[in-house]
Amino acid sequence: MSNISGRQTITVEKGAPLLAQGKRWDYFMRYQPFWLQGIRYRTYALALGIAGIFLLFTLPLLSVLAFAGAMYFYRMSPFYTGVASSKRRLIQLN
Amino acid sequence: MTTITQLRRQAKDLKFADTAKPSPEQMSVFMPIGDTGEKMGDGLPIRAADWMSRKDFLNSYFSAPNTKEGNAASVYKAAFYFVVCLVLTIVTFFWVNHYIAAVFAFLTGKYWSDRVVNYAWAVKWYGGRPLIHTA
Repeated sequence: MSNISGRQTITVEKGAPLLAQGKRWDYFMRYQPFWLQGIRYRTYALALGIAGIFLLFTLPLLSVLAFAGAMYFYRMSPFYTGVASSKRRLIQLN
Repeated sequence: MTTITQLRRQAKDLKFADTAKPSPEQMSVFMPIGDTGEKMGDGLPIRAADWMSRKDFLNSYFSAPNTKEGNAASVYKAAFYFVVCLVLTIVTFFWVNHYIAAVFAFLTGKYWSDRVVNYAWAVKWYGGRPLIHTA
């Protein structure tokens, strides 16, 4: 397609931007909740595991629930820490 | 008097006026990676781009080797030591010795100033600087 001046023009759909610029503190505050949530989940897993061992000799039915919860939190924690400890590249200008 | 051919040409010009702009993929971005030769106070080259991962960035913010160095985490570290020293000051003043309390009072002021300086650096100044990341 060419217009009257003879220059070639191509119609391109507007794509999403590849890079965005923001403040360092805002970026930190955006991803640090994921890191904290991962730590929280690991703590829950440890606490429920310890509780499960104690309940095993007193209330076995509850200990089963505690072990299930411990495994759930143990397996879910990397999904939160993984977001925070991603290999996504950032650029800082010093 | 404008002819129908001229009107068609004007309409065509208007039609292609928007498409002459480059798409985001075609636009060039200024990336100051090169070294201009000028140095900052700490010896780093001015306006050099520092590439890092999100993990390294968050780790740098969480780092607190002591209360004077470090980033946002050192604010909390200094605040914690401030509270500990304040309690020790009160305890030693009333139940131990005034002269020992003076030492803890000195440390209380030191850690409070560390907290203020770290907050001004890590949160206000450093955190207010730009960061380019993937959208």
